[in-house]
Amino acid sequence: MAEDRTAAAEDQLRALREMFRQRLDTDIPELERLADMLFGPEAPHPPDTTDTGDTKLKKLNQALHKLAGSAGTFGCPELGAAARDLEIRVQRWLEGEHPESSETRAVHAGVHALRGLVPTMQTVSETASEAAPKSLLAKAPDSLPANTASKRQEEPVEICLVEDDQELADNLKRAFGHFGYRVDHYERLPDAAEAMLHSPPDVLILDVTFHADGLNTIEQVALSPVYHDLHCPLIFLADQDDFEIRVQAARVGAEGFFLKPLDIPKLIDRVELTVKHLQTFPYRLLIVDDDEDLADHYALVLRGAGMEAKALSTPKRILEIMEEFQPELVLMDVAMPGYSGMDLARVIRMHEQWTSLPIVYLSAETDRDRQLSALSSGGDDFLTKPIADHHLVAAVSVRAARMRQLNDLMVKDSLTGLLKHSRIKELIAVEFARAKRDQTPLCVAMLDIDLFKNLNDTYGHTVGDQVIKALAHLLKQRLRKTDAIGRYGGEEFAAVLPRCEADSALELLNDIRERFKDIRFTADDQVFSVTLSAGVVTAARYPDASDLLAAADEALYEAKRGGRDRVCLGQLHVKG
Amino acid sequence: MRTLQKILYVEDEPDIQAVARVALEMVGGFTLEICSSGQEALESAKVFHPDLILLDVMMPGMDGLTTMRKLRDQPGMAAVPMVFMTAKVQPEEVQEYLAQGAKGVIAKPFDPMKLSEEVRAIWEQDHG
Repeated sequence: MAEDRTAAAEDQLRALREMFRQRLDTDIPELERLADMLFGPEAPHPPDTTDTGDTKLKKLNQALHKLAGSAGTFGCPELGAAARDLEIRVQRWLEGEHPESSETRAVHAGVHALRGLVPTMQTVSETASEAAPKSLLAKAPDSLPANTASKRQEEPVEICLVEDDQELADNLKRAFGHFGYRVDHYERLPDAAEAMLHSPPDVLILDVTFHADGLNTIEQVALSPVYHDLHCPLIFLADQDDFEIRVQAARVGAEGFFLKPLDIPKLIDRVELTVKHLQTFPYRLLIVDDDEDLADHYALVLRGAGMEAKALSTPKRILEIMEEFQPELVLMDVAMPGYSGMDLARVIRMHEQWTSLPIVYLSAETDRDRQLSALSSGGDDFLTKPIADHHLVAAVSVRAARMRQLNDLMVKDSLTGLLKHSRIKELIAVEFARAKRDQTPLCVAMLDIDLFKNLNDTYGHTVGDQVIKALAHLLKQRLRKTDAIGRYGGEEFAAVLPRCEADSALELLNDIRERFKDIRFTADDQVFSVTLSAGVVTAARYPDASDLLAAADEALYEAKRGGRDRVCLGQLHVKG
Repeated sequence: MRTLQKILYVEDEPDIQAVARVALEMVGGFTLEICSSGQEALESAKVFHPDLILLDVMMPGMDGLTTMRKLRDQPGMAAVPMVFMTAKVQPEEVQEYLAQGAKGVIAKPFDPMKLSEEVRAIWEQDHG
């Protein structure tokens, strides 16, 4: 058991090392470019060593620090040591030491020597890539779907904002901050362009009013290769509406065009939509194959493409494992000793929960009739072994993506992307049972937007929807991955917080309440803010889930009665 | 003796986060929560209730030492052992961290296959 774990960890580490080395192909040339700009023949001497703002030297120092920290961990100790040495030298200059030109030359050469310290690449073996796989699947696209480069949920989304209006920039920074974004603000376009070379943002927001050489912002963007290589979504801000400019923006592939005065929640909504695909959770796949090495290989390939894959070589505990792992797709070997893939597919299908789960057979079987007969017993598709790695990734991610879309439609509210009423109620029951069983704390909260009806009456339903969406985004951002959030009714939300004590829940909800109040909405040229009330209860005090919900509702009512814009903790009413 | 289960790891570098996840979750079998900044750690510690906290020393924004002090001030956190991870293991630096109340210092780059043992050793020393 422990050995299995070690082997799996080693596989994973190997995959991470491989990714790290691949990234060096772009990171090291970037470092070199930075060093050229600082110490090359055309660069001024001495270089700007002021330790303020985002100077190039500071950037070089940060990049070296990053490389020094990671290279050693990823099995490149020489590279790490060399980067560390350079970092220490640059650090001294940042601390005020005056560099001799011989020293800057040495650092310049040192940076260029780094690429010689990268160990030679070991490519992941491609299993039988020359054998063309035959599949009943529609031909998979060459470029893989979004999930392959999925960004982990924990990383903040980085926005690069180029705006010369300091007040607006501050407002945007604060507003985006509430939603967990990191905003790097620049007052000039060239500064931003240079910074992006070093650390590319996830979203770029640009004011269109920057002019240089008779070109406006959009023309500069269109002509500069910096932005092409970024492949990052672009949003433009403009003072006035101009059709020509809108067309220009569309041509450079802008995702949004916003007029000032800005409707900030709308802008945030657009950014949320844009980055949503970056933040999807990895697809969860279960691989069933009696050939342990092959199953591990598939798992590794799929993990390398950003998915979460579990390999299973003995199918006895399959139902238990599925219950725990909740796969979105099963990849099933057909011929296994003891049970066939078809037997297992039927066993899985007998459970109501898994009736719509895609099951894809993997087999050396090339006879089409026999393939089709296998499909009639519960499978959805057939992939022929041997299969090239990239084909496996494409075939699996297309299927999993579709499954997730369908599932989202079934369980999620279309306006907010939160869980629907029925689903969140189910989840409350599940978590309640789990908390009782494991004796862990659980809190449930009900939230309601204050005086929502007035808002709708005054500004109309579109504005009301905007407010609901803003709260939904905020909840998604502030709660943990393991928390569940649902839209319970029109303007009412429910949150399930497992492993959470009452005081933490209160603190969290009060934080959300404050942040929500701080959001400025705009409608009909008026700026307004909205408050919310919430009720929280802890599971331990209630005998069953429906009592818990009723109590949360009661606590919410208490908060409303107390004057709104507050969070109340539910008290157990003891009868008699 | 209480067993070590939940570890909060504060580290700004996504690469190292990924390795640490393998090292502590897969190799060590711990329950791991990772935060990218000291600020995030302050929030997370309130809900996660870690048994032990690993802190990177050099982080943009709030550094490791400041994060440790602020964590200490939170209710229920005073007794949670905190361990620093640093690339610059100068003896005087280590002494300074220990004097400030850290329970141990782990050198970076760490060996992913051994990190869990190092952490466990510090835990046992603290609880033995």
